[in-house]
Amino acid sequence: MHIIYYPDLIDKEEGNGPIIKFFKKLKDERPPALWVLVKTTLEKVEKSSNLDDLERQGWVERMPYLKTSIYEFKIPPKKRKEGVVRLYFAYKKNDPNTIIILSAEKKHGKIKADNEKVKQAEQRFKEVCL
Amino acid sequence: MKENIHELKEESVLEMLEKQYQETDDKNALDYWEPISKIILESIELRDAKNMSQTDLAVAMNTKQSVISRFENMGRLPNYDFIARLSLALSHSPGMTLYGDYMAVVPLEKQGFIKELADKENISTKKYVQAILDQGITLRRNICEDTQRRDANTTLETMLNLDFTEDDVIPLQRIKTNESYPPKVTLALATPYQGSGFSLAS
Repeated sequence: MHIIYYPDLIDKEEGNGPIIKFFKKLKDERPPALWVLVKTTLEKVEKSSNLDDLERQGWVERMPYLKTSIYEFKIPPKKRKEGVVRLYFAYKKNDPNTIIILSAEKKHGKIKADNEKVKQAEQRFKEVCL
Repeated sequence: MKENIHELKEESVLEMLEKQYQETDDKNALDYWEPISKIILESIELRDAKNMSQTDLAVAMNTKQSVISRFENMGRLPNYDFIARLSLALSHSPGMTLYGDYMAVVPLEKQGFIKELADKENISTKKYVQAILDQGITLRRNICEDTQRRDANTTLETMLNLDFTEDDVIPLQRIKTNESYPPKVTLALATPYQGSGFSLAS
């Protein structure tokens, strides 16, 4: 599968997009375990032909309460003391082999998660996937 | 609708992550975590392929489901005992190597085929793959030597302005191989990923 990210693709200043910034921040954390797990997982996705296995294993889930077809990539699926990463993505229109990452966030068990990034993903979904 | 995404340059996330990896000053810190990430994903894949729940795996490993869950969510760093029991529970014998960059890996989808071939030869899968690898390296080495010889001959021919025929090149199969080279390659097989320090080896 092919994974692209948005809106960094149209950001005029290279390397300044929100998803690039998010991954940079994650990589600079010590220890960088979560960044490596994200990288390894996405490498695995690239090698696979679909996300069925990951969906069955609980890593990928369609967000049921949204009207739009946005999926949540949970890395890792269950909560973890050091935090987890959630990537919100959608399939590219007319191309089931490409996913577009629309927004990303790190969630921590102690912090009550708001829906800001999900709303952002919905907005971006309207911009690129409809 | 803003700009049309279909007309945009499509840089993949992996390209971006790889760029970030290359730009980092402390690659050791990232490399440290890579094997464990791969082991986690690999064990989940194997467990799923065997239709085992976390509880089933826990029973096979003589531990609790919560231990498996913590491991799969990277909440627990496994020790050797855990890795070894995990390998055995997933019907593999434990394997380990420090040669991450040189480790040969048989992708999961080809393991059945390799096992069939090894069974026909009546040898273990590990030995069979080692033999293939040795053969492949020897062949590659011969091709390199042959090319070097060709290049050397061509240079000499040019210098002396002599005619050069195909017969002057030693055929590949007639080159005597030195059995002591290449050195034995340490193998830890049966993982679909390359470069991890550990492996659920077969």
